[in-house]
Amino acid sequence: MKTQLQQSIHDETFDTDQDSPRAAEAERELPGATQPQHLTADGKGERLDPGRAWITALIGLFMVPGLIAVAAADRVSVQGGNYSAAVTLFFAGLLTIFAPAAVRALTRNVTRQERFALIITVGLALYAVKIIGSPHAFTFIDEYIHLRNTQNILATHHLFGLNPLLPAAAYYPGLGAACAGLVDLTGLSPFVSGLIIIGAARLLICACLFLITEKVTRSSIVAAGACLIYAANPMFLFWSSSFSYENLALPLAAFVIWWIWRTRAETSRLTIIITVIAVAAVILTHHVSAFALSALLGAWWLGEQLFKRSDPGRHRIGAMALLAGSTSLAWFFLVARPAEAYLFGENILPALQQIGAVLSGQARPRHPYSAAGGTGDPVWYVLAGFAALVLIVLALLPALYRGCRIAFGWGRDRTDGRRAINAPLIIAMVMAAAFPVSQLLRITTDGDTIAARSSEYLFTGLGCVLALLADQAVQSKRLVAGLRAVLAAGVITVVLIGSATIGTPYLGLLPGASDPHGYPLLVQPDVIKASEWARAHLGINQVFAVGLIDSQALATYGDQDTISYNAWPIFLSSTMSHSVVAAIKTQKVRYVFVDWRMTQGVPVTPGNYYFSPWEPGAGTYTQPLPAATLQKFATTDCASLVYNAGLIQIFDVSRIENGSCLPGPATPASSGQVTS
Amino acid sequence: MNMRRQAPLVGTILAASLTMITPLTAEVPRVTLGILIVFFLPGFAATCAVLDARRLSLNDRLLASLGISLGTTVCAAVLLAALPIGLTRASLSVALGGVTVIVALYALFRMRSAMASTMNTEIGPTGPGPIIEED
Repeated sequence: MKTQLQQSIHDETFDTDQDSPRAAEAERELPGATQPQHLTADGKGERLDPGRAWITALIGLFMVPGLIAVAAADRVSVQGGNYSAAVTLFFAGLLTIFAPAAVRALTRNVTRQERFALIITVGLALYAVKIIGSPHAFTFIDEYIHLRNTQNILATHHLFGLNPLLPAAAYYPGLGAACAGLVDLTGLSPFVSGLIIIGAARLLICACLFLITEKVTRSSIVAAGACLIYAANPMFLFWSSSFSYENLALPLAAFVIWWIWRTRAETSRLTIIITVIAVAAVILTHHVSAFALSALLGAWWLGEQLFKRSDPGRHRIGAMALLAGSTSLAWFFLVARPAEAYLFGENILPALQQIGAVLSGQARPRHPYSAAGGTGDPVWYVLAGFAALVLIVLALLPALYRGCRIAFGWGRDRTDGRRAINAPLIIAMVMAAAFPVSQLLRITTDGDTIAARSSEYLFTGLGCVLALLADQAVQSKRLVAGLRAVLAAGVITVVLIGSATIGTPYLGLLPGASDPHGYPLLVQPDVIKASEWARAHLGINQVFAVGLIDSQALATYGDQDTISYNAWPIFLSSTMSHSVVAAIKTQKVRYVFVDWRMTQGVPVTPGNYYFSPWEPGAGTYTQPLPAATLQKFATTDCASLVYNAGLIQIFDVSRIENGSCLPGPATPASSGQVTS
Repeated sequence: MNMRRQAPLVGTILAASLTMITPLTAEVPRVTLGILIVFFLPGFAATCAVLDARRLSLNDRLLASLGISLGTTVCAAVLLAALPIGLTRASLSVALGGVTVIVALYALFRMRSAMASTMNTEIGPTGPGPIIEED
């Protein structure tokens, strides 16, 4: 029985290589592939139909009011207006950007080129949402990490400068070096250069994902659907738009896959050299992306080895898998040594331990789908996350069944008696099936981070498989197909909204108020000002004990060597006890950066901590820090106040650090807030 | 016709050379050339050298140019920063510009060889062959 996807191919044109006899021959050899169909009688071909291009242009223009709504929501939030109303306006803007384009991209009577243009436009428009939220400077935690990397390279012209925010990041210098290079060549600021690089990477991943999925499924509707579903992963809206190494490496990895596929029939050595360069770029930029690329190439090679009769391109895939795997492991274990402790010691092992504790009943499970650990998220926000997951899981089973029919060629025996096997689609199905399993990690705090970050990878396969249903839905009579396209687009839009609530805390959705109440989620202007003062008056590379949020500004704007993760023993005690003195001495802390907002509110960062996930109150704070914990620095004779402006103070504790002054008997400090 | 096909490559060579040899102080040309050399020119030259233009769609060409250029920039920047020479404006512009010019020249050479080969096939080494009339 002929499947509907096969039928759809008669209505779709997908093969960009149709002018290439060699490429067309390679295509015909692909297991599971059906014969490409070219321009059809009703004009639904590869090229943009000038008669209908205005619709695409109109939808592109329709995104502008959506972006204006997002900008208005951000402005309301910054000015301290009604946050709930601003969030509603923000989601209305997202709907306006995404939904019309999704409907059009999934509509049957649309050219392939139009779908491609829509996907690129949607990807860039969603990137613009992030830029509108922070138009003047980097504001996300990871962005400061890579800004520090870039600054180090710009200052020294060399690699591996100390990065106090994340030492492992210095050993994956791809993004920092590329950004520093762009700064050198253009004279633009690191911020603008970073935005351009991540924007280019966003374009790259949207285009590559579309073209790869199109090759795998041989349908541009599935390709468009897969990209739309990928855009609905929890990290896409903000995290994947940030200036972070993964957001350059993952698009480059997608490019490697597309390039190998596109040139598998080429024999030129330069093709191989280009592939090696692209693989090296991924390895030099991000560890997990490099491992994921190696695994994907290995699985692809294995799939073709098992299911395919003969193809010389298969050997190249195997060689690249071997090269990528061995080189990324060698770099990880021999060069980027701090990365091992970061990845395993700080992320994977704690998550596994927490899961073990929850499963054995020693710990209570975390509330899943509450992005900020349950702090301050309204009920509807949490329910939206659940709704997105339920929709995905409900659609996954029939999608996997349909994927099996296509991938294994059920009911589609070829004339030679062999069944056509589509190995890449099987890989996509395995990734899709792994998604529900990955969500189990969300019952723990550390596991939640891993589950969230893994969605960037798993949604590539998940999108491909779920989009098979979208393709099936629109294969009917014109009116019904149109209604079904609207329905499919609506479901994906709901997943987009729900995923946004999973990936971002409610209070982090919009930029913070210029005068926030409580402990802020992002770096505040007065902290930046203090950091710049420290750089100018204390010199660079001084060791500071500081809270996690403030450390981002102090390490970049101030160019200081900050200690945040291990700073909690210095801050959380109410007196200048022996443990405080010992912590100052062992960590060689010269200055303490005090932010009195710690005494005004509990942290709303994921994990709910001021300094590190290992501090005693992490995840359980219901009250802010007592004022005495910070006041103790003002009451000891061994610390001198060197900066005092509003809520920010800097204390010089170098006499404690060098042992020339020992704080007297511990006395509880009097409470009180410092004024400028 | 030949000139029209070669013009983008010649333009690539000129732009890459300009990036290398001119200490640009004006902002607009500096930013324009900087962005081109990081995001487009090396990949465009490499794509022309590797793949036959007639078999590439515009999407493929642009995508390959962007991806290869980004990959090349990352590798070149990291390599320079790892070497004693260091990552500076001069070193990176020479590295990226030099690679672009060399690959573009190779692409031009390939293109001319392919054209000559096509002409030889069509006309033959000593002109048109004998006309064989069908019965």
